[in-house]
Parts: sequence; structure tokens; C-alpha cells
Amino acid sequence: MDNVIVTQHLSKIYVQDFLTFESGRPRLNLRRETKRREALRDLNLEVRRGEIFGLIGPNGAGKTTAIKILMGIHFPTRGSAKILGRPLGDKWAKAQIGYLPENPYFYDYLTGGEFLDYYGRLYGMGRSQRRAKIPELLERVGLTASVSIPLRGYSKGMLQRIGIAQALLNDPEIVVLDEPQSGLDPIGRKEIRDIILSLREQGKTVFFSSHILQDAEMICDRVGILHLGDLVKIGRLEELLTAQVSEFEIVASGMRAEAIAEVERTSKRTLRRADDVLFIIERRGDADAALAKISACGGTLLSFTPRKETLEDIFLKQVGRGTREVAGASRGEVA
Amino acid sequence: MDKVFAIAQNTFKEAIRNRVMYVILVFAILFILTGVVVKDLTIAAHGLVIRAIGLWAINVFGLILALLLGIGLVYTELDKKTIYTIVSKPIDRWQFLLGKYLGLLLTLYLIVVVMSAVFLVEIHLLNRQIQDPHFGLAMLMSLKAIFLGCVELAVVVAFALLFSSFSSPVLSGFMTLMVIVAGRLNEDIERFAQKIIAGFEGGGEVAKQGFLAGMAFLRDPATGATIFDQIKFLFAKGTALVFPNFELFNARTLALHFDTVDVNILKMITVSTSDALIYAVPYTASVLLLAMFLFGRRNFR
Repeated sequence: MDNVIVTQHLSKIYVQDFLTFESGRPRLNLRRETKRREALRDLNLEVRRGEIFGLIGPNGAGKTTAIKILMGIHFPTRGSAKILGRPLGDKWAKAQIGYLPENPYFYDYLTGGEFLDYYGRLYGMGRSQRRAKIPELLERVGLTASVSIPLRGYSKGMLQRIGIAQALLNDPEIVVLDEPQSGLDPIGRKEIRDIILSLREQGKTVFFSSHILQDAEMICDRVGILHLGDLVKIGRLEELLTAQVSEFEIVASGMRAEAIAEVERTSKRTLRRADDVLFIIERRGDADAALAKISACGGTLLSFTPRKETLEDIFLKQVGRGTREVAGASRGEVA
Repeated sequence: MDKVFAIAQNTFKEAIRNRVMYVILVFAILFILTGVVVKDLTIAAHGLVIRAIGLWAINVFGLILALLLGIGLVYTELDKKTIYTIVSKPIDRWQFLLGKYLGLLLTLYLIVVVMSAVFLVEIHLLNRQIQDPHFGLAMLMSLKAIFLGCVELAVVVAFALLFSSFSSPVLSGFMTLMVIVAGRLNEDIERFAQKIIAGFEGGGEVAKQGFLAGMAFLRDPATGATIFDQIKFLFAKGTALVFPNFELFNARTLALHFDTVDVNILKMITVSTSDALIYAVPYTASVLLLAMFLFGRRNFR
């Protein structure tokens, strides 16, 4: 399997203005350390042909910076990258890529049809080619009925879908999506997920960034975890997610107080609601003992769930606890 | 080149779907038509008054629209991040800038054509009443003034694009306005520079020579020029050299007075179309190349 995207020591340092505002307060950036912000540090990764690669990380991790460099929007401070064996900015390579930026904004005075026609011309597609491709794509993203509506009348989900359509105009070999599910409702997220999976079925390579971990876990072949500009983990999902059970969740009811206290000693976490108790226990032996105790004290076992490690667990391990982003991660989204 | 035309066409669509442009255009047309009323304030120069108001309005409203549309030309794409999906396509950044430039110029020329049509119909209808013997020449002179005004617009839009490619609309609007002012006063600034040299003994001849000769003259201790004189000359001559000379594109004076002034004055107010083009084409190309150079190295935030 050959690599379609290869980055070597890709780094980006932003030089900030001497005066910036943080939470409404002015801040002078006169010292070298405050003037320079390292957004990406020595990113080395390979994306293989035909896979779905997810770049995940909290806000400010460097995901969008990495994508912007690959798309020629930013220039790297250090390092290099190759797309389909060509250096960054190569027009042939660009013609093989479809790209959807984060929170895309398109020309709102154009209708959906005009917009795709314009972008088709930028790809160098001829008139007949555009006439054949545009209706097909509109149908694929479910916007055939909205072809004559100006984009200012589109909802966020519709804009995301027309954005996907423009990224697929050139029948690209690589599709790069920056936070494609951000801000969408569950139906919108599922639609995007389905489109990404269908792209893989067609043999396309999908490189996307996300902070929605469940979605990434559902569709990615490989992931890279970025944190504060560093790639802290990269690999196949099945390699990263160990098959071992990481903990057991036991829910019981009708237990006596002393029996609960006894099980609680070996439990990582205990939650009580009315008559029910939830124990989270890490070791198999302790879980067996807890089950015996529930039975012995006359309690009722409501559920017993062995939990395997998730992408979220790996993510939390890598980026550390106690940050604002991590609080969001426990809800499935990272900030 | 189709990619450049696609961007130009989109820029044109954006402009013609902008309602502010129509408000200004309607205002400009009303302004041109005020000549019909204002002409009665004079006894015999009805044609001159209508031509003066019409040509002035076409020029000034063209510049106002160039400023308004030009300063946000690139900034809007950066601000709304539409540039992200453009530069990731297989096009060069210079193609994008050239497309934006041509699109805006096309829009402005269309507006000038509309304003000129109203103006020409107006002077034609007036001529039915006053039967001006020089009407045909007046038409030709007016068309030449309008054409050179279009050449001036090409230079102004290049500057607006240059400033818009690296600064905010307010700043680029201010800088473009300064270029227009400096361009209009270019010959006065040049005369001021010459006057500094001519003020010293033996400076009369040197004044007509170039920048380097002038500086060498002022640096010679024998002239008695101070460092302040040198700075004044450097600033004035430098401004006259760097900024465009918009007087080369001003054929309006000739279009108004060609039938009333004597031959000597006629020579002074005549501007050559070929000279204006020879000056404008490389000048505009240089400004555009500078804009492309700066834009090509930008990180788009």
C-alpha cells in the first residue's frame, strides 16, 4: 500500500502581532516567547492510499494548521510534505485533491448550481464535463431541489453538503475534510459519515480532522492524535484500541449499606441513584467478588458490562486530564 | 486562462449583485442630468456646463466605485475564508489576483458605459436646441476624456488591489485615496521639487534634470543647500516619481475648452492618448506584479 501524503518534520510557527486581545484584555507580545506561537512541531506522518485517516485532537492542537499547509493556504516554517509524490503547491497534485475547510463559507450571492459551475472551471473542467458532473453530485448530496437557490438561503447542513460536492467535483483521489461534522446535528453527522464511508468504497483516500471521537472511531482505519502541535500517537485503530477489557460496569439494586461499602473499597467509582448503585471496577477478580457480594446480600444484579478501551480513553490518556478540552471529551466532543 | 476568466466573471457577478452599486449608479445618473437645469445659470455656455458636469461625474463616480469595490476585493475573500477553497484548487495565486482585477475593471467599465450613454444622449438632445457648430468635435473630445478616465481607473484599481491584498478595507481605502490625491497633484509636486533646486544659484538648468542630478546638486556644499532642503527635495521628487501622474489621463480640460482657447493654451492642455497608454500599461503591470509578489507569499489566516 503506497503513501499518498507524506510529511517530514512539518512545523509552523506563527508570529503574532505585537498587540493581541485575549478575553477582551489587551496583551503586548514583545518578548520572543510571547511573539512566536508554535502551532505545529515536527509532524511526521504518512497517509496510505485508500484509507480513512483521522487527525484528532483538542482545539489548538494544530489539526487545521497541518491541513492548511497541505492545501497551500499556509507555508510551513520548517519541514516538507509530499502529496502523491509531488511537493506542496504542485498543480497536478492539487487537481487530484478535494478539500472542504472547517465551517465553510461560500459565495452567498451564487446559486448552488452557479457555485459548482464556478469551482468546476477552477478545476479546469470543460463545459460538457461540468454539465454531466454537477447534477450527479447534487443528487449525491441531496441538493437537487436547491440548485437554483442562492447559497445565502442554505442551512448549515446544506452548506456542508454543497461543500462536500465541490470537494468531489474533480473526482479526486484524495479527499481532505477539516472538521466535516462540526456543528451538525446527529442526522447531518450521519450523512457526512455515510459519504466518507462511500468514498472509501470507491477507493478514495480520506484525510480528515475531527474532535468528535465517536465518529472518528466509527469510520477511521488509522488515526493520529495531535496535542499542542505534537503528534503524540499514530497507528491503526485496532492496534491502538487494545482488545482487553479495561473495566467492568456493575449495576445492582436492593443492596444493604454495609454490602455497598464493602464493594466500594475495590471500586474505582461508585454512583448511587435511589435504590440503584453503579460500580466501576478495574480488576476481574474484584468484579467477581462484587457479583458474589450482591448475590449474598440479597441484592439484584441489573447489568454487568465489561468495557473495552475506546478512542476517547486513549485520547484522554494522551492529552492529559484537567483541561477544558478534556471536560468536553468526556461528553464525546472535545471543546 | 479560463480559470482567470472564471474568477473575473465571478467578481463581476458579485459586483452586479451588490445593491450599493446600483444606488451609487442611480445617484451618478441623476447628477449627470442636473446639467440640464444648471446650464440655465449661464447665458451662452450651455454645452460647456453640461459637458463639465457630465465628464466630472463620470470620472468621480467611477473613482468612488473603484474605491468602494476595490478595497474589499481581496479582503472579503480572506475575511470570509472563501480563499481557502480557491487556493487549494489547481490555480496559481497570481491567476486569482489577475481574475479579481479584470473582473472589477470589467464591472467599472460597464458602469462607465452606462453613465456615458446617459451623458451622450443628454448632450445630443441639448444640441438639437442650441445647434453648436463644434458639436461633433465636442463629442469626440468627450469620448477621449472618458477613454482616458478608463485608463486612469485601470491604474487606480491596480493600487486598490495591491493595498487590499495585504491590509484591511479601511486602510487600503485610505491608501488608495492617498494615491489618487498624490496622482492628481503629481505635476504640482514635481514643480515644487523643481522650485527647490531653482531657488539656488545655478539651479535653473539642473531643476529640469532628473532626481540624481538634483540630489548631486543639493549635496554640493558650494550651493549652500541645507540637509532640510535635501530632505524636502528627496520627498517631493520621490513622491512625484513613485506615484502615478494622473494629469496624463486628464483630457477633460481640453474637452471643455477646445473651442474657446488660443493655440498656445491648446497645446498645454492637450494630452496624448498614446503617451497615456505607454505610461499606464507598464505602470499598472508593475503595481500588479508587486501585488502578486506579496500575495504569493502570504499565509491566509
